[in-house]
Amino acid sequence: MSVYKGIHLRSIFLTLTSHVIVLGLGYGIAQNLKREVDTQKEEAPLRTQSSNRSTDSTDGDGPELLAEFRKDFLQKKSRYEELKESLQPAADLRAAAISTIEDWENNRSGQDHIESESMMLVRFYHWLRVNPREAMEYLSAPQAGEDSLKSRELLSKLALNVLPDVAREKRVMKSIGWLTSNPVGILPLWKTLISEMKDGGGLALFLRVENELAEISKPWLEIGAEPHGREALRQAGASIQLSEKDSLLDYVKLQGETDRAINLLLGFAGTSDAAATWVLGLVERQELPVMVARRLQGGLGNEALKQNGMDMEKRIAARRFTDGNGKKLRENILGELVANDVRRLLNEGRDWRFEFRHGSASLDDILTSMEGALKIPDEGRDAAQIALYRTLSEENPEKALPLLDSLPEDRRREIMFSNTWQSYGNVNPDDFIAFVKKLPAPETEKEIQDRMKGWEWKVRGSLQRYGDDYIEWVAALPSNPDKYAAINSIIWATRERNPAKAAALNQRFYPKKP
Amino acid sequence: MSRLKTIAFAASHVVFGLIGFLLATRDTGPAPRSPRATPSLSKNQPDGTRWIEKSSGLTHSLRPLKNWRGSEHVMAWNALCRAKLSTKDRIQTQRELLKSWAKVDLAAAMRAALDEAWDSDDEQHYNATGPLVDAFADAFASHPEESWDLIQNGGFGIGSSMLRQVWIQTIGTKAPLLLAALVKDLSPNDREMAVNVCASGTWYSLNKETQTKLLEQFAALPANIISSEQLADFLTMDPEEMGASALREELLHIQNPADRIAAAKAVVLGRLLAPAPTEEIAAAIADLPQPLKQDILISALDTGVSMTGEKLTSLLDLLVAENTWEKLGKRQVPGMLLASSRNGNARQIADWVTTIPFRKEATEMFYRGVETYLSDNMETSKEWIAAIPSQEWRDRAYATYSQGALNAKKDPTASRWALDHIQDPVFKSEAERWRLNWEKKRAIPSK
Repeated sequence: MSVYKGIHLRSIFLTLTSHVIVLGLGYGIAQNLKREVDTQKEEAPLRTQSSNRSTDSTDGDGPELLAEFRKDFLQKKSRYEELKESLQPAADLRAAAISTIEDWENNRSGQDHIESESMMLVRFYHWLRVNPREAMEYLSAPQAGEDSLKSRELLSKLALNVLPDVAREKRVMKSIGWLTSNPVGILPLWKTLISEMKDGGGLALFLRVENELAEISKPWLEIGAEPHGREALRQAGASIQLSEKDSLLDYVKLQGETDRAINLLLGFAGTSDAAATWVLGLVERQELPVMVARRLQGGLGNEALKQNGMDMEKRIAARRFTDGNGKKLRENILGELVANDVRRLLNEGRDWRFEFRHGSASLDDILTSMEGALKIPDEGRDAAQIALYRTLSEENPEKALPLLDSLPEDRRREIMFSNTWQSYGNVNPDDFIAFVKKLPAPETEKEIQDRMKGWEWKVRGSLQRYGDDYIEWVAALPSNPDKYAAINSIIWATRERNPAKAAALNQRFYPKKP
Repeated sequence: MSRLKTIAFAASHVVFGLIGFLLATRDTGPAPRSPRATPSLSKNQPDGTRWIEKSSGLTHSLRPLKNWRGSEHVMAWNALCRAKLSTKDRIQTQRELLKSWAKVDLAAAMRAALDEAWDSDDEQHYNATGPLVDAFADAFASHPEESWDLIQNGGFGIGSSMLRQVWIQTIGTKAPLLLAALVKDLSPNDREMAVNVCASGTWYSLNKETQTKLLEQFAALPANIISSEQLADFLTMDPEEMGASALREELLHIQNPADRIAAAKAVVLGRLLAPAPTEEIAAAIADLPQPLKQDILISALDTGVSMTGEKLTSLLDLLVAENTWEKLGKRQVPGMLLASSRNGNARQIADWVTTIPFRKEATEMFYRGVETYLSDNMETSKEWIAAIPSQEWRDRAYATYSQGALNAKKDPTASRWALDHIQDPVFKSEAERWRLNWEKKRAIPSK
């Protein structure tokens, strides 16, 4: 390499380096500026005007951003949880807990209420962990607050998370004593019991707790006492394993006709199709005491409603037990069961309604999923399609319409017209009017009545939800029979509550000629 | 280096610096949509689906989560429909996204929320404002004035009523005095909600100072904005503790009976007296000033909405005697008469309404009072109508008969018979119009 060439290369190298440095400097300055802007933005007041810049959007980065966002908020801990992990217990647990009450009291509706409340909760958590009886005694006495209302509010705050947290750590059997010292402890007791039953304790644990509670004589301890008892017992029943069914039967026979026995059985029946079939079998084979079976039947029909996996004939038999179903036509009961299965699939599984509304799931996708997830007998196919139509039409009426293609024309029309009142509850009124506008011209008295009924049913709820805005919305509709159907329904609905206002509306929409 | 070379050298460095600057400032995500662009979230696609239009070519965002702008929120929001979440998780995510989005672009977040379904998809989050809108409560609480302006002027259509409900519920709890100052400008429905929220706040927070200020603020407003009944909820005394006789004593010595706080106390006395026999109520109010008597009686009537039969008509007799027509006309008396009629008192109620003087405020009471008896006795009531002494009431009974024949019995001939008995030609034409409305309703075409 010649000297000249060496100098030239060095010069090129230096020039390039200096350019890269300048480029980097420019980049750095801009980044700093941007950080400043971002910081200012964070501190900026609420933006109530969207930017006028409009660029095409994409979901190119969307999935990643969404995943990042979800990860963040799902991991986010409540302030109570954060403090529970980070705050060291004070030397004097009792004094530290009591000293937080005043601050919590003063900040109940202020900006700092979350901080002061969380601090109060954690200080009591510390005290309860070490000396639960003493803490509960303090909380149950009037000095906990200036008056009984404050004392109750304080306890109800603690009952939500703190008492169950402490009980979970100590286990339910070791928490019965202190939790039962105040009625507020009953819900946390149930919560802990049910969670431990689910974790393997099962019916055996329930029986141990029940025995223990029988030794304590307090009115609020009667298992099954309202208001929480029924639901708690159902949940306890739902935490019993299928393998424990024989012990459950022994227990129920021993108990006789009690809320305890009936609700445990019903809760258990709701756990699986096998459990529901087993409970139904007990009733059919008359293995249960007569009064237990009688009280159980209505609820059992409702459980069968939820068990798509159960044999259809058994479901129908169970449904017949519920009020009003005894003499119902078989096909009607079957239709109700299938329709309910479809609605449950749409509400509890994947978010099909939302995906259908936004076009990311097609009718075929949903039908395929339905076929895979539900057992639908041939005679229930129409009912399934109709139930699917009634729900999906609210999201996209035109795309849902092919669901009715397999029906005879008069049945198809009947479903479409009755959809005005059987569906579209609580939807955006603009969506409802869009649906109504696309209905074919009514040809029969029944079709006219159905359409009218649609308005009558919508108006009552809409007036409650949108208030006077709904009246203005109706007033702005083009003058056609739908508008007058809505106006008449508004006047009638208003008349029941406020005759003077109804009269004013009547005058507004039907002015008297001078 | 020659002069030219020096210039070129310097210029090239400036250019590279600029390139560096531009590289760094390049927006890494799409800009938030304009107020009218955001509704295009709901833009109907040719196949009827609603979603934002797609484009491509975006680089990954460099902004950490806490610095997200509207654009990141839009992208994450749009990605939800392909995220295959359960309904519960989707709604939870939307609510969290809206809370975050509201901090940087409340208008766009509100539009996005209103663009979704308003019913409760998972039946978990249902409330009067749907599953999403109340996610804005914190944003409203942080910026009450700005958010109120936005709700009122943001062009949200009928959806603004749901936003307003959330705003009222939130501010009524956090800053009741601010809400109270707005009350006079609200629509009647919203006003009622606002006053109720303020009242419930005073019950649970037990803040006497705020309660007193609210009472003062509301008492300064006229009765058509805040009624005596509403005002009664803000009285700082405990009426239950005070008792009916002590309250009556206080009202006997009231200096200015037109005072709004006195009227509110009269309402409380009416509530306490409501369960008593009508004769006792009459005796308790006998010596009180006229306007307060009316307030007490009306309040007793409002409290006993489920009263029927003689108890109802005897209390109404007292109200008629005190000439309370203006207030009576605004009450649910027609509904109470109808309910009582349907509850086995049809003839007694129908007879009673023919005894009240004919006047405008009483007409609705009359219609609902005779409706059940006439519809249930289409044949025998013909004589009963003919025997009504007042011609005005008789005409209205025939008109009610006609409506019953049409709506309950689908019998246009019976309706015609009744309409032809109406004597006042002006009223007859009105009754004919009612029939015409019925005919129009039946003939409803498609569009």
